[in-house]
Amino acid sequence: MYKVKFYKGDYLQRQQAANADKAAAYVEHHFNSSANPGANYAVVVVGSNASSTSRNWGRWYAKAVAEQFGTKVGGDGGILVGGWNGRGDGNVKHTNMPAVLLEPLFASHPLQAEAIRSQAGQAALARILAESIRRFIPGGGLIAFSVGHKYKTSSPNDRGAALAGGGTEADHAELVLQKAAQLLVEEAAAPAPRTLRVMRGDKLLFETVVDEDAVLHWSSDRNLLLIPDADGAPAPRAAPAVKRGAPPAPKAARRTARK
Amino acid sequence: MALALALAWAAGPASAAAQTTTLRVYFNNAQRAGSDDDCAIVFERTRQLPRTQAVATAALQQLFAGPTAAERAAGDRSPFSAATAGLLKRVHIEHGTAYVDLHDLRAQLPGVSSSCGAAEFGLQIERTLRQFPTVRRVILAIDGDPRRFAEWMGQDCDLRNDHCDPAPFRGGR
Repeated sequence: MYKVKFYKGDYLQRQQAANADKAAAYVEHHFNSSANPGANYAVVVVGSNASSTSRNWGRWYAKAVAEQFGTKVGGDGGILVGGWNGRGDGNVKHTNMPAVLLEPLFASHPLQAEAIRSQAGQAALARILAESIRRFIPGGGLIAFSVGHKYKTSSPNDRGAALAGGGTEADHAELVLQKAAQLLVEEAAAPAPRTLRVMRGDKLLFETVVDEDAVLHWSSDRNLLLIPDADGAPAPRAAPAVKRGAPPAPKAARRTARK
Repeated sequence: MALALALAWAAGPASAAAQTTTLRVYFNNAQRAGSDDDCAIVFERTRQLPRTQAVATAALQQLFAGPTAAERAAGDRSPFSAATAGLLKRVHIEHGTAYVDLHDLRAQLPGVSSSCGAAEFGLQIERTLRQFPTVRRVILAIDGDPRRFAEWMGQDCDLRNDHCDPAPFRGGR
C-alpha cells in the first residue's frame, strides 16, 4: 500500500523530484534547536501555501509527539505556516502534495537529545510518523522522505544542529525516517483494523481490536474506558464519547483511545 | 591657574562622552521573557565603544561576539559567541535596507536554521540593526551570495530578499 523513497540533493530539487514521481506525501525530518537549553516543544512547519490536509496532519503529529514525550505543542496549535519569516518555507512549499517539515524535539535540550539518541525514542517518533501518514494519507502511494540538512549538493557537510551530549540532528533524523519507512512498508500488506492500545511510555500494556464504528466512552470519574458490546449496547449517557473523527476528547481519553 | 584646572576638570566627562558611542545589541533571555519557548523575544544590552561613524558595523561586531560572561550569568542566550566574533564581513545601508555580508561560519552556527534557531538568529540581527532609523529591513548573504544564505535557511528567493540579487553586496547595483 505504501512505498517510501528517500530524496537527496538541494531542497528544491528534492521537491521537484517528488513531484515528478507523483508522491502522495512529502516528509522532511529535522529537530529544533535553541541557544536556550530549556526550549521544549513540538512543532511542524508547513508551507505558506499548505493545504488543510498538511495543516491538520502537522497539528495531529505535533500533538501526538507532545503527548508521547510529555512536552508542549509549539506554534499555532502545533504548526508554523511558512516557518519563521519564511525560513523553512522553501523546504516544503514547492511540493504538489501534502507536505510537512517535522521538528518534534529539541536537539539542544539535554533530556530530549537523550531521547533522540535512544532506540526507544526513535521508535516512538517513527511510530507516530507512520500512524500520522496512515491517518492523513489513507490511500497509500509513494511517501517521499527527506533528511533535513543531509545530502545537500550545495552544502554536503551540513548535519544541522548538534545534539546536546553528542551526535547530530541529521544523522538521527535519518534513523527515525528509516524506522518509519520500515513500519510503513511492513505493515502495508494488510489494512490495519481499528486497534485500541494502552501504553506506558513506549511499552504496550494492552491491545484489542474494536469495531470500526464503535463509539467509545471514557469515564473520568471511574478512570474507565467503555467499549460497547458487540450488539451495540450503549454506554452510560453521562460519559463523553470518543469516536473516530470526533472533536478532541479529554486528555486522558485521547491517550488511551487514540494511540 | 585654578580657573584653568577647574575648566579642564569640568570638560573632562563631557569630552569622554563625546569620545564614545553607545550602541544596543539584543539577546534572548528566557528568564526575562518568562518563557523557555518563545524564541522571538529579545532584550537589549548596551555597549559603550570608542566613538565611530560606522555604527552598524560596530553594533554587529558586538552582537556577533555574543553576550558577556555577566550577561550569560543573567540568562542572556544567543547563537553568537567568541567563536563567531569574526562573522561580519561587511554591512552597508542603502535605501532603508541593511545588506549584511557574513563570512561562511555555518559550521559554528549549526542550529540556527531550525525554526527556533532562525528566530533567535534573525531577530537578534534585525533588532540590533533597526535601532538605527535608517534601517527598515535586513538582507543577509554568505560571502556575497544571498542565495547561499537563503538555501541555508530554507528560504525562497522572493520579494523579502530582493530575489537574492547579489549586486548590492558587491558594493553597488
